[in-house]
Amino acid sequence: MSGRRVTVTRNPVPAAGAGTAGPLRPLGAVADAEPDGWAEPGELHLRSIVAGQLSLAGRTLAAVAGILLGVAVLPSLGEYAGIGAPGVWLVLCLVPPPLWALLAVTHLRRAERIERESVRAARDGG
Amino acid sequence: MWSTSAWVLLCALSTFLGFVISRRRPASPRHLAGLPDEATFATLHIAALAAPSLRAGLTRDSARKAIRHLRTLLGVSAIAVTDADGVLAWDGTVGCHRDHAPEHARTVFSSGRPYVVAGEAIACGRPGCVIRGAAVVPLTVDGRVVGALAAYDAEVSAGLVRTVTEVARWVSGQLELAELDSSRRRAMEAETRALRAQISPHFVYNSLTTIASFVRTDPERARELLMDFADFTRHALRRGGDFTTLADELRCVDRYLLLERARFGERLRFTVRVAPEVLPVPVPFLCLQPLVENAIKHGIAATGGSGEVRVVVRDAGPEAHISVEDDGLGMDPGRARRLLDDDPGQGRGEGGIGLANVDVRLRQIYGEGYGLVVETALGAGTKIRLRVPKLPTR
Amino acid sequence: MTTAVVASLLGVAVVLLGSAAMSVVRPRRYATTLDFYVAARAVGPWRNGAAISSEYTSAVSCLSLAGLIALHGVPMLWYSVGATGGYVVVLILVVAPLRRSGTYTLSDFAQWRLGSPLVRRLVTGIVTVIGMIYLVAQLQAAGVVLRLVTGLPPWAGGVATAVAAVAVALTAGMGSVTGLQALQFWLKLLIFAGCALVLWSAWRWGMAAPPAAPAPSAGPHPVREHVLAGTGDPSPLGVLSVLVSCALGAMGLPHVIVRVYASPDGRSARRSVVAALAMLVAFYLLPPVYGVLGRVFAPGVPADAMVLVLPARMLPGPVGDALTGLLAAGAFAAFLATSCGVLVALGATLSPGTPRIARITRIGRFRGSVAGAALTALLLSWAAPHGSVILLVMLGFGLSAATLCPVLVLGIWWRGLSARGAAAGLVVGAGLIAALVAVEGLAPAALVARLGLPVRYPAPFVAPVAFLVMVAVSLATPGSVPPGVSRKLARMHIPEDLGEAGIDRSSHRPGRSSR
Repeated sequence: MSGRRVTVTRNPVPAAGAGTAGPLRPLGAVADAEPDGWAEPGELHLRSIVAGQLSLAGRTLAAVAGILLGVAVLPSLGEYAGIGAPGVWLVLCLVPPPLWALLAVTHLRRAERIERESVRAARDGG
Repeated sequence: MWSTSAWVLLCALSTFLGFVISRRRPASPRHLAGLPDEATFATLHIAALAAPSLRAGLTRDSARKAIRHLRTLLGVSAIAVTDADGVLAWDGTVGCHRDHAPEHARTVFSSGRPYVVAGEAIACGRPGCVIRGAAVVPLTVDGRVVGALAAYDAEVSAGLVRTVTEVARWVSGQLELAELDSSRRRAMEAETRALRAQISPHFVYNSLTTIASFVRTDPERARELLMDFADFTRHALRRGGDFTTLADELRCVDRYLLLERARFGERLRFTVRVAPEVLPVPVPFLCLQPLVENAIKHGIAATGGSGEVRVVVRDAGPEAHISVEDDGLGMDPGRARRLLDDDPGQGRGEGGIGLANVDVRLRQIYGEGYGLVVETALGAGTKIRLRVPKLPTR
Repeated sequence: MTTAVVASLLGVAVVLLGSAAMSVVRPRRYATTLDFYVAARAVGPWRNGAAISSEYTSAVSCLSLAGLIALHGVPMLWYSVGATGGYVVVLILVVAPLRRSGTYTLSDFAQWRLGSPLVRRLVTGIVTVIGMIYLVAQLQAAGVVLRLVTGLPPWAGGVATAVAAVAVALTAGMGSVTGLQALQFWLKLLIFAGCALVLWSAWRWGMAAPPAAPAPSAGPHPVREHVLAGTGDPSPLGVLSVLVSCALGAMGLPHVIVRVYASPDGRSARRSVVAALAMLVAFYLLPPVYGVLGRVFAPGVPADAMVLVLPARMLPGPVGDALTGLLAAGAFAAFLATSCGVLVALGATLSPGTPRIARITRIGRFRGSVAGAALTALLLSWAAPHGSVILLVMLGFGLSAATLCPVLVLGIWWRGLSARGAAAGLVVGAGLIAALVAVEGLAPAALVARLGLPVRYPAPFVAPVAFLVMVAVSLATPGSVPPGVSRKLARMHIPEDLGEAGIDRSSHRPGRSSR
């Protein structure tokens, strides 16, 4: 059925009027036109949320580094403790995964809490 | 050894390829590096710093942000930007002449020409004030004086007057662009408003009569339909914002289809197929619903028989592709073209509600290549396609 | 043809053709309200998480890792720890802001955040290299696997995978790529876990054939794997190198950000990464199991082939053949999922820059880029010498850690990042990695040792240097900090339900007009 159809588009627009000056940019368009130095009430709010997320990120990153480091020293530690090679294998395979999962879920909940609180603060304040 | 070196070569090659391919972006100002003069570069750089503020129009805020750069550009002791009401911004080593600026500007406003003040007439007598001359130049948009740029310094040379005049001309150019920007935006907003106004009458009337017909026979259904109607109007008549997400737009279409289905009953069949990945894509407000309305009008209402409306949303890499198809009467391609060529401000012509409006808005936002594409012929149904870039960076 | 060959061919064919077919015939339809909610429901965290895991668990995770564990033992167990750890870092530092930025590829992000065409070009170049490395690794592995199980020439596997991946990448828009990828993840998990269970119980209950040769005693291993960018080196520095690459490099993989875009908002994107992490954690329990089995039953087999050799060694006969077929099918699901994800990402990254010929539309350029990338990767995979797949992929990770990671992290969290700073850091990071790898490959070993260059372990040294260069140059060139930084940061960090009123949706702000 569609084989007989003819494709139609609008005739080329004469070079005048608003439509021909080039595309407007919908998202971020205003952002790009905005010179630096945002001095609206949002700034304080933004700074607090970024600082909150950043300190949370720092803490979680430290935990990640700790786990990686712990995993790295574990085998030599295991030899001293005398748990033997199979023990080291088991620990290396079974201990880090739950730690990762725990860390991720904790981080997720805290990050979402920061966002929720900031939303609430902004609504109350504004 | 051989394998590593081969890999290194391959990586270098593909970096080079990626770089070469990706440099074919549209012209960028990188060729400026070839300019001989460091001073030219510095001037252009300062001008570029001032430009974004000025592109927001002549306001107290924009003048304050731009004025520092303008003074650097001119290299004078003090500088003022005024509009018809008074001084918008002042920047300088001294503040004592700020009050003279409106008076100087008034002369410019009345004559529309630049002029120079010099000698002891301007001296304020305050200790440490070196200012003995001023060049005041009008800022114009479309030939009308909207403000003045006044430069104050120890002496006013012919060179300074020329520089100030040129800078004022450049600022005027930026202000004209700002005016153009804002008038384009206003035009777009007006079109969205017009579309919003076009939505209502027929559809509201039809929906309400349909709902009314259910009130006795099937109150529960009537209640659901009223809720759908409320949902639809909330989306279609909301204020603020030219953009919405595809998910919201589809929900609006869904409400619309449900109401129409209540009216047409089994005569109207519809299918919606959606790739869920593209639901978060931002789309122009009310870009789908008019197409669906058009399909129902031509596919079912006009034939009097039954018909199917098919909405397909595809994920196509950097774009989302949307098509709205009906298996109704179709139309003469010439008529389809006339529908698209319609002046979008004209309201509903011969049944093509908003088609031209959607087409114009899409082109304005994404560029000329992104208009509606209509595939139709008499007796062959109609298919309207549109494309929406996921990230409209151009 | 033996039964093993038939089973393998059957499994591979089912996976490749099934995926290509499913991508076309699986559109969602609806005709009632209730269905609409199902059809037009945004991609949920679990589904998107499975899709992310699917693209991430490539040939490396399925085959090479187990092979390396069998070869080198304990030090290689860290790889699976690092591979999942990388996603924790992605979760912490990038995912939600990246989604909220609304950009679709890393190049888009660089352009949007820094407003510099130069940085965009650099990022595009680096993404292309990483994508190519990834693709070539998958195609080579496909060749190796198909030849191993069926005896077909090595190009056959690569071509089959490339064709299927291009087909899926170009047609999948009709239905849901996410759904297909998610399904492939579950398929892989089921196959690899099931086979592991069967093989493990065969070993426990003594039904397996006795080990072919006694496991080699301590001392230099008979098979010496080539070492690239620290990978495959069991020394602490080698492990550190791989851990840093994994932890910092995962965020720069081109297919990750494209997947993030499928989530409706930042919060849901964050949740899908947590879901992906949970699934990856489950998946990465498997390589050690195969590694242990391989150490006992198939010592000395090349890393990439070990997993597939295992069933036949342990259970000669129809059961082993069937398992080999299943594993081959699972491996091809892995190759296909990763190749397809990378191809889509590469196509989207390259298409804005491809030459504008006459009236080729944007989508035409996308298709061209996808096909071109697949073809290039195919040619490279024949031209390039075969190493172990994991070497290549880890090189890609290291490059990403030293270049894209600093741009992303600083771009998301630091206002002061300037376009010149980013460009300098990218050039230094990529240049150092390339130089070190080149020196390792080309310069005489004695000279390298005397100079004390960290040639074998570039990532832990180059990534900090790239960060430092970016910060230092940015501080020195405050003039090229792009305008509107605060607004961009606000868009990335303020939750959508607050931001939509003023930031996300509206292009008009009152009080901005010139009157």
